[in-house]
Amino acid sequence: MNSLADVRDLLFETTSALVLHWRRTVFVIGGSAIGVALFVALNGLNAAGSSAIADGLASAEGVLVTARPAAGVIDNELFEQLDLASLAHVPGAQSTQLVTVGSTVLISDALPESGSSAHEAQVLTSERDFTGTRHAWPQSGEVILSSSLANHLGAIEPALPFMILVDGTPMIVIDVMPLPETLGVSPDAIVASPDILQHAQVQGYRVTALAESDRVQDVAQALPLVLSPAQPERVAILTSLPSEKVRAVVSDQTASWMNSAAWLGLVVAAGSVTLPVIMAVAERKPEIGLRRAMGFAGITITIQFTLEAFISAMAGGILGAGVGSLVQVAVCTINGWQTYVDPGLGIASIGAAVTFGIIAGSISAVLAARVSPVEALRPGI
Amino acid sequence: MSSPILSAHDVSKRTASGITLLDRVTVDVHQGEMVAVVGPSGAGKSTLLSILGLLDRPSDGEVLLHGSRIDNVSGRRASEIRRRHVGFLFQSVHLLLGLTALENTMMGLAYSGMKRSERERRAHQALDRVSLLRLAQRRANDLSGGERQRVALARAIVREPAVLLCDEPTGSLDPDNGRKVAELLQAESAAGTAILVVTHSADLADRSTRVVEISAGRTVR
Repeated sequence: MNSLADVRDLLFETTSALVLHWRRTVFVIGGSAIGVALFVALNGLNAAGSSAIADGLASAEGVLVTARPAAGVIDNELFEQLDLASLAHVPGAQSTQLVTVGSTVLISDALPESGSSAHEAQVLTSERDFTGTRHAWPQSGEVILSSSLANHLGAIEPALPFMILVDGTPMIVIDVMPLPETLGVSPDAIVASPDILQHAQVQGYRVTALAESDRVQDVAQALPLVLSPAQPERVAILTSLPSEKVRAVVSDQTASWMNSAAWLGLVVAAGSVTLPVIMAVAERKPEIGLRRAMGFAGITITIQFTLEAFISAMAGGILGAGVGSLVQVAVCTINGWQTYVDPGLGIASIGAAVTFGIIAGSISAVLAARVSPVEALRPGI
Repeated sequence: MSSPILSAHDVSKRTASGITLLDRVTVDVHQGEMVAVVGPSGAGKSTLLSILGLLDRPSDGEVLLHGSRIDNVSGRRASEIRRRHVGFLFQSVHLLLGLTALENTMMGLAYSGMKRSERERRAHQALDRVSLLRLAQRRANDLSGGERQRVALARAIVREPAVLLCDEPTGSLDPDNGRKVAELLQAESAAGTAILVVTHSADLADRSTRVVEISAGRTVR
């Protein structure tokens, strides 16, 4: 490679070889493309499909009974999408009020209208007299359900419905609280307004019941009778898992086999690139020998073989990433799933294909450079 | 007589297992001379040709090109010497069948630094010298065996090498095509190219300026 003309010759020789040995070129490009397409499409579909399945489970009609976040304090992370402006009065609740103490928001939509609980809560909170209970002191920015507050206040409240938007989806939340045993009420008792269910069904809202983590199953069993005393069988109880956990479980389950299939795609790509490129050395032995005899330096042949593999693998990788993304988009569109086209994944898979090409090309180049012209040009070889 | 273009002095070749393939063989090829190397199969003829063409290294002895020793040069320098000074013609033509006769001939000018137009001009000239100009655009797989061998000859002479080394160039051709190739080699020799041809062909040997006979790795004539 002493001049630009030599580089041009190298490119010409390389492209000529790719065209002349077009069957192998097509095999390498096709195999690499199929492998990369599998990898890209399955990875994308894994994310899109599992998310869609989880969403489907979470949004299915029925009441989702789930564990209340620890100590009655709703984790900001869970309700970070909370749209306070969307809070609305829910039939069955006695009122809808917001009590604000600093940046802490107390949703007290069920405090007695006539009573002073809201005021009392505010006063108690501001006076930091909210001690001696199982609840943590409200932290700045936390959202606390009034049911918990009411519980602490020793009041017997019905299940406290309120509506929030989580990820833009209206959701009615019933906080099923354990009632104080000191009041002579069974701890298994659940108090809720049947109107809630009716309202939710009319509006198409999801209903989520929050319960103590060790009572989720009890609540799930008792809730239909509370919500629909006349026809408890109409109340479908979905799951005790929160939607995020459902998503995680579904993702784990689907990921296990889809990721395996995706990685299998890369194995296909690796095999498709490396095997034919390496095998080409034996097939092209006379050609290599002739080039050596004609004075082509070993390094020239080495570079050419590496370049051939590089170009084929790169073309296959780009083609595969494109096809894989298209397949993923098409499947997601047909199924109404959200697409997860990840440019980084595409680039990484092309990079993987190119790496296979360089490795295969380097191996074949070393083998080619070692070919003895005398043996290669012997008749019959 | 002028000094030889290419010569081997007391060249020996032994395999790693100790088998002697050549034993102190000396041969010179002068400009405009066609030297035929004959002998039974396994005599060491092709080994001698490989050593003269720097495709193989001798165990002992010297190879000289234009009076300069070349058997001990680096692999890279050997490639350069082959590219600049030596042409090869083999029994198996090893054309790239998907390429035309012209493109196969131009392959001999790869990495020459020449422009494509100049390469085409020279390739056309070389094809004309082997009487195949009319088939320049025909793909190699549509050519007959004799025509392919002539394209291979055109590819070998397109760089105007000082030396042409031929290994059984007519070995796989019918008598008529063999005669044509022999005539072309004779013409190339007459035009000034130093040719060393390893052959079993009596016709080719008869057309040669000199005949060197090798048997069991030794020069017997």
